[in-house]
Order: sequence, then structure tokens, then C-alpha cells
Amino acid sequence: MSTNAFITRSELSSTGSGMLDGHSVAVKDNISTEGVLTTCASKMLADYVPPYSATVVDRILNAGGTIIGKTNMDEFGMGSTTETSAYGPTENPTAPGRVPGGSSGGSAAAVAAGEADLALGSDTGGSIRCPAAFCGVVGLKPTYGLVSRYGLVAYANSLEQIGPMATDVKGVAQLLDVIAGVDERDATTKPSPETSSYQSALDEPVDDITIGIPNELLEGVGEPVLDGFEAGIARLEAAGAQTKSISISSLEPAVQAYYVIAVSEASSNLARFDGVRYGHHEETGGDWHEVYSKNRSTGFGDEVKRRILLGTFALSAGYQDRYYQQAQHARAWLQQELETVFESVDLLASPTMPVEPFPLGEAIEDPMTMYRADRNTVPVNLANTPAISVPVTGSSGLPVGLQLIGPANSERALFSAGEVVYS
Amino acid sequence: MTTPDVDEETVHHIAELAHISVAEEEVDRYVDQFEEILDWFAALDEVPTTLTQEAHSNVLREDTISDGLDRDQALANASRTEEGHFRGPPVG
Repeated sequence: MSTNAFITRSELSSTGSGMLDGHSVAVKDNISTEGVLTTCASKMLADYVPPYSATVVDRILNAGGTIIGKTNMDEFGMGSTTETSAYGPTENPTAPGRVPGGSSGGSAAAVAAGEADLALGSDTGGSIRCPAAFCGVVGLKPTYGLVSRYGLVAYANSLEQIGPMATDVKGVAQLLDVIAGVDERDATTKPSPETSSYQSALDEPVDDITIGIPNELLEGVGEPVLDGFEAGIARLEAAGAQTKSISISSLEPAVQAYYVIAVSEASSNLARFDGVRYGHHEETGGDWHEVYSKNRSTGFGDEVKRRILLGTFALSAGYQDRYYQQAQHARAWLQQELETVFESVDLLASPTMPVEPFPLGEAIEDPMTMYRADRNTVPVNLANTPAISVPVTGSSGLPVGLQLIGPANSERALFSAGEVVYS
Repeated sequence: MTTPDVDEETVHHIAELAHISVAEEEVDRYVDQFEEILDWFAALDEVPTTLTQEAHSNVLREDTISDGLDRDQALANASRTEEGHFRGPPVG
């Protein structure tokens, strides 16, 4: 059975030797690969062949990895189901008949189906962790600035990071060891204070850590998901971790703040697609405004247009203070509260997604259902902190993800605790 | 605060700003969806004023010459080119 995990299959051979010798890697189709189509799952970029590769792609090939193809995704990363792709939906290999999550659904499906050893996704509001949870694999959203975004087609650049996905925690740590690090081509990268490898964190004990469980991220969570989450927490407790229930008020408006900021940045970032230097072009008459408007209305899909229009509205005269500025206050408030919280707990835990994987075709009809489902994943994008999703099994038998969140540069702690949940 | 009224005229105005043509039959759908989404965004009205002007520092590098894309690579994805330049639609 084909899961439709790939948009383009194309072998990019290793250019060096190292940690990824003999490993196949699938790369999300919004990450540039020199000479290989990079479509962002959009008709807009159906024929776009990048003249250069993303830094992460070069690092994988230099470390001995082979890139076996470009994976399906929600168009430009906008969605949580991989159904907004211009190339058709991807089926969840772990839960047939259901979506793989999104937007990095093809990457999650490729590793879940055994078609690739490792994969790269990108995470703007949960786009690595949601599909990891839905497909029963592991995915990490790194600390903002840990991994270079050079060559990532921008959607909302203050929120997004490229990150690793694999069937186990070890694979995710291994790929992070390869891709992390300062890049002079991305001025937002920062040196990590970490000196040990990420893989070496897997054997470290968790018996002296405290994990906070925010009530806000458990509200309305279904029974099967909650059962899986609690089973994962029980493993951490059995390994000696302390857990406690906490409350963080600034989590409440975080998903709204996220959407205001994401659509605002999208309206600006996607302004570059006018069909002149690259991208979908209609043979049509008229002046520049008419030509751009035609190229953009026929090249972009519904969800992308909806977000660009909403973002344009949120940034327009008279509404900027009400929406964009308030969202920035909400972001700062969340960052402030989390800093305080991390003085008394080491990590936070929640279900990655409050729901189980949607049946194919169900969620896409109603954008609000999709937006609300991102409640548990968007806070770390606003806070610039890392989070990992580790698979546990829900009581209905469908895959469920347990999310662990830490302060900036706590990836090693996330791997240590993640390994306890996983093994 | 009440949610701002979104009508057909608003949608046309935004579409004009965003350079996206919107078909008449799409306008009503956008009006309904935007009203629903803006109602939801109203939760942000209650957020405390928190953002302060933080001290930021510039991240700069030496301004040295290095290889970039050559002209053919830069033009390779363009739909129309002329004498080594991009050819865009007429202005005005």
C-alpha cells in the first residue's frame, strides 16, 4: 500500500562520511535541495528547482546520510493534517484511514512505514510533534536558533525551526547531533551551551527531576488520549521523577496569539510569490497588480489564501494594535510565566495533541476545528523553547503522543526523559 | 470590545492589499469565516500589557566577498527573462 508520503523521490548521495553512514533520510518538501524539486506541496512551486541547498541538507550529506526524497506536507506548512497539499493527502501508516497529522505528515509517515530511517520536518506551531504523535513516532522541535533555517521556505520565521523525526528517541538525537549548530547564513542561530552529544543523554537518569503538568493542557482531552498520557507519566514516576499539577494562565490565549502572529508573518513572507522570479505564472494580460493577483489566486490553495488574507487584515491600518500588538503581549506574557515556572520544575508534560488522529477528510472542512487542536503544541513556538513528542498507546489502540517541554537548550534533558517514556 | 464588522467590502479591500483575486462566490464564505475567527481572537483583548522594549544586539559579520548565485542560476526559475534580466508585467 502506498501512503503517498513522498512528493518527489530522488536520491542525493552522501558527500562525506560520519554519524549518518548508511542512513536514509527523508526531507520535508519546504527544505531546499539543490537540483531537486522543492514544491512546499503547492501548485505555486510545482516546477521550482532550488539553485542551492539548505544548510541542514549539506550537513546530512556531509555526515554520510543519503536523502531519498521530499515528503508531502500541508501547503507551505499550513495545516495539521497534510490534507491541504496540492498533491493529495498522505495516509497514516499506523492508523489506516486516518490523517498522519501535519504539517510534516509525509516525514512522519515515511519513518513510520519504514521507508526512511530518519526524517526532517519543520515546526511552526506543532508541525513536527503533531504528525509524530499521530503516526506513533518521535519528533523534536528544537530551541529557536539551535538549527539553521537557511534554505527553509519561510512561513512564520519568528516561530519555526527545522527538527528531526525517527521511530525512536535515539534516531532523533542522532540527527540533531548532525544538524544543530551556528550557521553564518542564518543570523538567528546561536551557539548552544551544550558540550556533550545529544545521543549521550539517553542513558542519563531522571530520578532527580520534577515534571509539571499544566491543567490548561488537559482540559477537554478525550479519555483514550488521557489514558495513554497517564501511562507515560507512570513510567517517568517509576523511574524516580516527581510530578505535580500546575496552572499557567498565559497558556489560555496562546493559540489565538499564535494564529495572529503566524498569519501576520505569513502574509509578509508569502508576498514574494508573484510568479515573476519563480513560481506559478498564468499567461494573462494586465498590469502588475492584475498579473500578481491572478498568479497568486490560482497558485495558492484555499488554506494558504485564507491565512494570507487574515494576516493582511491583522496588520492593516486600524487593526494592528488590536490583534498583532496584543498577540505580542500574549507571547511576552507566556515567556515571562514559563521562565518563572522553570525555576520550580525541570520539564513540563502534556498530551501532544488533545485528540486522536482525525479520519481522512473530516477536519479540513472546518478550519476552526484544526486551529483549536493546536492548543498544546503552539506555546513552545511562542516561547522559543524545545519540546519532544514520544509515542505512547491510547486506550482505543490509536497512537497518542506524550509531549515534554523544557526551557531553552534543554534538549538533553528532553532526550533523557523521552527515553524513559519510550523504552 | 466588540468584534469588528467584516463585510463584502472588507474582504475586497484585504484581497486588493494582498494581491489575491477573490471570486464573488468566495466572498461570502470569507465573511463568515473571518467573523468566526475574529470572535475567537477576542480572547486577546484581556491579555495584560507585558511587552517591553528589550535590549537587542546586532549579529553582524565581516563584509567579505564570497560566491553567490550566478546570473543563469538566478534566472533559471523565472517564467520570462530578457537579456539576462527578469521580465515582469507592465507597471501601471
